[in-house]
Amino acid sequence: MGRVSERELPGVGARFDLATSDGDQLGVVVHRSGRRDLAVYDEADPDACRAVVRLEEAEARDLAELLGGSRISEAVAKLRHDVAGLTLEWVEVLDGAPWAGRSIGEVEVRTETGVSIVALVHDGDARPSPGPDDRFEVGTTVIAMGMAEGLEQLAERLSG
Amino acid sequence: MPMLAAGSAEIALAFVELGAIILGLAALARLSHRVGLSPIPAYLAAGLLFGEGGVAQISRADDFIGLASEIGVLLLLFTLGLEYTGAELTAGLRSGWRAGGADLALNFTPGFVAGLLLGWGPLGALMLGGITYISSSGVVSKLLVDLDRMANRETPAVLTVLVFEDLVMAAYLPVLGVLLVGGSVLSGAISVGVALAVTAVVLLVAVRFGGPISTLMAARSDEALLLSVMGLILVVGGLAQQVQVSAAIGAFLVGIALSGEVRHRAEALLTPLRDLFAALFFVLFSLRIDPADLPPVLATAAVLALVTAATKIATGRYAASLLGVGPRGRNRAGMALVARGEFSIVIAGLAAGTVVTEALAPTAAAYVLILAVLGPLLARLNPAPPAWVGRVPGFRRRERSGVAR
Repeated sequence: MGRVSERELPGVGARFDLATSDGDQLGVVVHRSGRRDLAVYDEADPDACRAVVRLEEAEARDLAELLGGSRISEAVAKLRHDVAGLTLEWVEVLDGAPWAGRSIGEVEVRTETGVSIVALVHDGDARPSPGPDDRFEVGTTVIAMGMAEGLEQLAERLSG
Repeated sequence: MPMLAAGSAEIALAFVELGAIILGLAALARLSHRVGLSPIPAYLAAGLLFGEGGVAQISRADDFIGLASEIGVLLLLFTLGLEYTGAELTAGLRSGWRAGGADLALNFTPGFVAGLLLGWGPLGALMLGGITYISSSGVVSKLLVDLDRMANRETPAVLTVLVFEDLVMAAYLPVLGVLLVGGSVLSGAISVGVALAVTAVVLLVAVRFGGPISTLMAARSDEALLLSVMGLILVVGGLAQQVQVSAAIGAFLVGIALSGEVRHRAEALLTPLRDLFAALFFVLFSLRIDPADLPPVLATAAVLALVTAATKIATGRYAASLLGVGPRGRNRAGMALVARGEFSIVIAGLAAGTVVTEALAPTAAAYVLILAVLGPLLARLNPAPPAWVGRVPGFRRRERSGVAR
């Protein structure tokens, strides 16, 4: 995943910004109503948009499907739906954190926190279902699933 | 039975009158939307044209219109409260106090000073200050959507200012409500304290326990939800009025307390009702103004409009500069905030039947008439700022630091 940043829009929803490697600045406004605005920022005036596409909820889903991003998010949404209380969390491994550089088996993630590591994402390379020998390298984004409490403990040890 | 016959004739006339008024408003709303303006100035202008005599002509439907316009005020404030969640308000207070404080200082002061200079006394000045302070969140949000500016980087600055104004209203309205009732300085001070304490407690309850309240209100059918919410607004509004906190603030707090899915549905259900009742409120407000009172206040309103358009632009530019937005974006943020509308009229409407000067209502009407038209026009045309804006001391510094970031 590229560098996505989020900004709250009070009364409206939230805006997500994304810079493509080609240099284009993209923005997605997620309205509370489910509507999405897809915006391409203007190079001459980076605060304004060169083009804005308004998408209804279903249209946004169709577009996501075409762009190939829907399978993962849909699977996740389904899982969340299936098991109440289960949450998916993205945690970045920071330098100096207790578990930074150590392997999954070594620190006994499951026993310690009760969460499952779904995938490790490093430099855009995803490693789904990692084994006990895989390490929490600094800069890796850890995708974990579990109860909120356990995820909090995990976050403390990876980015604390 | 002659009684019944007379009664039904009366009702028939009332229906026709009310219908004619609403059809008239419908034509105005249609016209306004076609030219891309808020219908509020059109409603006000229509009311002014018919003038004082108009009230006599619609006497048969007058009882209903009077009550309906009061409900319109409640629904306006309710939807204002509904616009932001408790969390957003708390965040707005934490992150928006600089922009919000500048907004208050720059836009309340001109109205307040003008009120004092016009000899309206502290209370009249307080009201005029409120009228010049508050932007029309309805007009501003609609402009942002219509002009496709939701994704723009200066837009969070605009929204932050609106959120903060929302919070200021939560303190301003109860204070004003108490002061309008009058009484000695001491009893007034106590009442203001009580009103603010009640508001603070309810606000806290709304932010903390919004979830349970919403769950309680939740109903499968839209009909049940509509009636529950409408009933709650009226009861809380009435109780608030009873303890002199002003019914409007009660409705506002109900809006804040609703959250989650209920809030979403309530918004969809009550917005059409608000549009109906609020339209009657605007037209009744201006119908009560004698057209002869308008020319003397026109110059005052025009000067005030120009000054506070400039101060609002300065506010928006400052707020956007805090987010590191470039010069053009800062300018857009400023222009977007200029419009004043529904809440300025709500404030002026509170003065009806109190000791405050009679010149307030026509001044407010003329003022809103100017800025509710000028604001959207400025936002659409987005003219380059006059050179002197950059020369205001302190302003330039901000702009530089904004660019550097």
